[in-house]
Amino acid sequence: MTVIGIDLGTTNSACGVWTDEGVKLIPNRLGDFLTPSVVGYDDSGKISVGRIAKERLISHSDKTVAVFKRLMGTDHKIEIGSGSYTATELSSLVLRSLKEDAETYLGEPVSRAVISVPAYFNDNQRLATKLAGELAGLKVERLINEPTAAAIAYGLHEKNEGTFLILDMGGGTFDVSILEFFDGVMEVHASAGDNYLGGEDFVDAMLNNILSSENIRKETLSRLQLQTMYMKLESAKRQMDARAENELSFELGDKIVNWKVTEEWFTKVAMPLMLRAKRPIETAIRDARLSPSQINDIVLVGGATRMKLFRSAVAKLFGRFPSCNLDPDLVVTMGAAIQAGLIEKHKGLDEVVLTDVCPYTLGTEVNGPEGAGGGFFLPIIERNTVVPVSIVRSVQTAHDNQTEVAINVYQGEHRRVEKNVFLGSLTAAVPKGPAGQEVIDIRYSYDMNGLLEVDVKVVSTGKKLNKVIEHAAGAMDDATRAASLKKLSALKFHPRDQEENRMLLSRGERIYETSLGEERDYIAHVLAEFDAILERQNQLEIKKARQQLEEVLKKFDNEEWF
Amino acid sequence: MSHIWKVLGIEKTDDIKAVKRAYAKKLRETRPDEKPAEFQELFAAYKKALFVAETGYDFDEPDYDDEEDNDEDASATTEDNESDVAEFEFDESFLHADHHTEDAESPLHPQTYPRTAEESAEDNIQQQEKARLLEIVEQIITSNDRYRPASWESVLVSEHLLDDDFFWQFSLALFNRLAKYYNELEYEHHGSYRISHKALKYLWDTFNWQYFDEEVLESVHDQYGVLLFDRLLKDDEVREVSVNDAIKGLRGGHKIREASTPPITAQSTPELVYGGSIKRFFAITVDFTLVIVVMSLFNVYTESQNDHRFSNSEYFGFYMILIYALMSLIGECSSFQTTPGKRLFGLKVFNSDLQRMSYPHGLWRVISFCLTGLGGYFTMLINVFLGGRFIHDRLSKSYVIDMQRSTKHGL
Repeated sequence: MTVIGIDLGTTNSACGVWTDEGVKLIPNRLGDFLTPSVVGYDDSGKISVGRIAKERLISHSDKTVAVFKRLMGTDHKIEIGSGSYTATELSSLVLRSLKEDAETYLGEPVSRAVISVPAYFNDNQRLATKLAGELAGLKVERLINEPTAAAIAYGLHEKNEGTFLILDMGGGTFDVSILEFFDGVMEVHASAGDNYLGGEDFVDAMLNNILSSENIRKETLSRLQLQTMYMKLESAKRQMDARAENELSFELGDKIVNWKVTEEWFTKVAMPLMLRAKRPIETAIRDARLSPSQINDIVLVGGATRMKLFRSAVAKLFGRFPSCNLDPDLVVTMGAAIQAGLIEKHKGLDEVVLTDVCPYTLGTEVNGPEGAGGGFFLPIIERNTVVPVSIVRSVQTAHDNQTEVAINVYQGEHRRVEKNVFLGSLTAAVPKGPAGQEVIDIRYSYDMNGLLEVDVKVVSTGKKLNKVIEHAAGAMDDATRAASLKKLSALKFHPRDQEENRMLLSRGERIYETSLGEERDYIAHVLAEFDAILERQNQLEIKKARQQLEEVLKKFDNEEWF
Repeated sequence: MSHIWKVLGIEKTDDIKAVKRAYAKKLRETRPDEKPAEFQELFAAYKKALFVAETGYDFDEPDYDDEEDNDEDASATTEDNESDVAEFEFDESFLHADHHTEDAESPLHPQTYPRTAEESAEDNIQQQEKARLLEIVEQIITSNDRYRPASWESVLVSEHLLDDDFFWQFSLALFNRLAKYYNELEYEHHGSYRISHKALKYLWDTFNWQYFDEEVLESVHDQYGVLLFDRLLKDDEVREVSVNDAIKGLRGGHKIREASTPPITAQSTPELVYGGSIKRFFAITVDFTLVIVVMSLFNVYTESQNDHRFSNSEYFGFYMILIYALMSLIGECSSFQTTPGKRLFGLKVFNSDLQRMSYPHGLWRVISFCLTGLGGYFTMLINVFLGGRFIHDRLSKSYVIDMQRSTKHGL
């Protein structure tokens, strides 16, 4: 049984598999390696994932949703069309689509996968990702950190030994990892990151800047106007290198705004984000106890690292240019596929042993020194400790005749727990006694997947509690999981053979929505013709018409937002 | 000492490559996912061996106790790492002292190169750029632009800010300029905020002053900087961590329903449950029964004395309430913080600081009780719907807590 490697991204997802000839990326039903992480209902009530959904994000934004990876590990629900879904469920739909592509490509059922997650993802987010895999019918063999996956791909592909700094800026997250590759050992020295910093934030910053200087409130814009603006700015961002100046025009509210996108303006808008991006880089270098000169290679991963501004910032920081010989969009997928091959113990693969670290400090809430009250953070596993690791700390009761002790599990670096991420809590019953008499051993174990397990033992009674984290955001109990599975399996995907035609139609509709006047009429006419040909169901005719339509649409469409 | 080399399976060596090779070989037999405990031991030995090989530091010094030595081997390598850091920092400060004259040093710049002619030219350019930016700051501060966050954004249009040293020096210069401005304001306008919260927040977040509090405070030349820092730190609007709202980043979708059950937030105070209406009704019944029993005993006594004042039913109710009130006052303000009836049902009375009430406070609580008591059944009916916080509790700002159901969070 084949294990596939999946990169489940904020903007795009992809999957690959390890074969005797090395990594093979799996094309989706449209023949692309990248599947946009967009999910939507179409008019017939079926689910579409990927490019079609992304095209429809403009014209049917109430029925389509993107950038939901950021809500992983939370309890928020998103309504699209008539249904409401958590980010986990939406991700599972993307995974299901990838799984079907892989099954078609390999010609056999696929039920095991390695899924990549940002290194800085917290416990809740990791559990949610694992759950998404299970909901899609995939057993998640391993969650691999994205920078680690990239390093594996890079190290094995380039046959390079040495120390790398991986900067991974994708659509929504930013990860920094320092790794060393020697004698078949891939050792992660340190990881740091920002879970809310990625390419989408740069587009957001551009959009907010334009709106605030035009004195327009975001809420007053219609969905169509807002999504069109996102699309235009996204493609302007991508074209930044090629064009020094890009004249855009937006319909905002009832006025038309013309905006000149220049490098200078973009630098201004992006600077706060760039300054934020510097922080994890500094943390990682400090934690790894390395000087920049000891780093052999700087590897850029993720679509957002294509930005010229990002590259020049990195060059400034390190006094040299980063290397990037692999496609930044696909290198994580390749790494995940290699990891999948390693798990299968594939013959063609040189043995690589991976050692990873826990990227953040994990601890519990305790009372401070005498009179300081509660809310203090007691670190148990320090950040950048090599994993798997298991550490015990002992705590005592704080009050006389206390009957219960609540153990709150937190993750973060602040000395006050309220500034850290709450992961869950356990309650242990203790015998009554004076304060300080009862001792409780708390054991934190952190495994290779980056998942935390908490064991609590009351010393005097010998009573043990195991990770019944009662309140983890985004978690599901068995009943909700069953309900969710039922809901998701009722959703039907469109048959694959129609995909290309539907994609062209959606694209045509999107162009129709965003253009004006004569152009619009012309597109409407062409689309109607294509519709009529589809009705006749003559395959040869359809194929020819499809090519023609593609040509026509290409003329009108200069957006680069895939 | 030999322990770490035994774990690695080689003789003691100062060849780093050999140590790595030995570790890699052993790691294949001790995979982290299969033998976690052995792996931790191997990893610790490897790090220690690397340290020995790199520094030549010999653990086998004569004053080294063997037993202690073994102890240390078994534990983590914290001590070694510490000396590792110390050495690294030493290098850094050494180089800094050589090549920099500014008093404000970047605490983060991990590496300093010897300055070449090219780099001094670069330094010059940076000095000019810093002067230019500070001039813009001056313009903003002295004009009405200072209210608008957008005008502050224009300060950031400089690629030089991506350079650590430059960023740090400019950040401190800007902070000191702001401090000076606020000091002038203090005298002229009695300290009213003249730069909008939004603008201050923007600068606070962008330059991350809070994170580098020690360095920022070290750099300020006078107490005004300290005052400004303190003020910004205490300003809730400025300090509030700008959590990037993931929801705002979402594209498309019809509507978002926020999580129905927010995660438990940190509880710095014990979690409290108010005494329920039923418990409190029974508690008060017990108390009055007690009062009546006492009064009846007293009646028996006074009747025998031929004094008819107490047995007079007209006054009986009045005395009953008076005695109950007195009992509540003494009981609730004592260290028991409860009346006998409340004690029976595990209820205690607290003031709003969750401390014992003072006697005047207790008196006010009793008066509130008597006043609302005039409402009779009507008051009782309302109280049932008040979720354990009765009218007189609310009036007197006191709390009746169910000690059995309240848990103490934290340890």
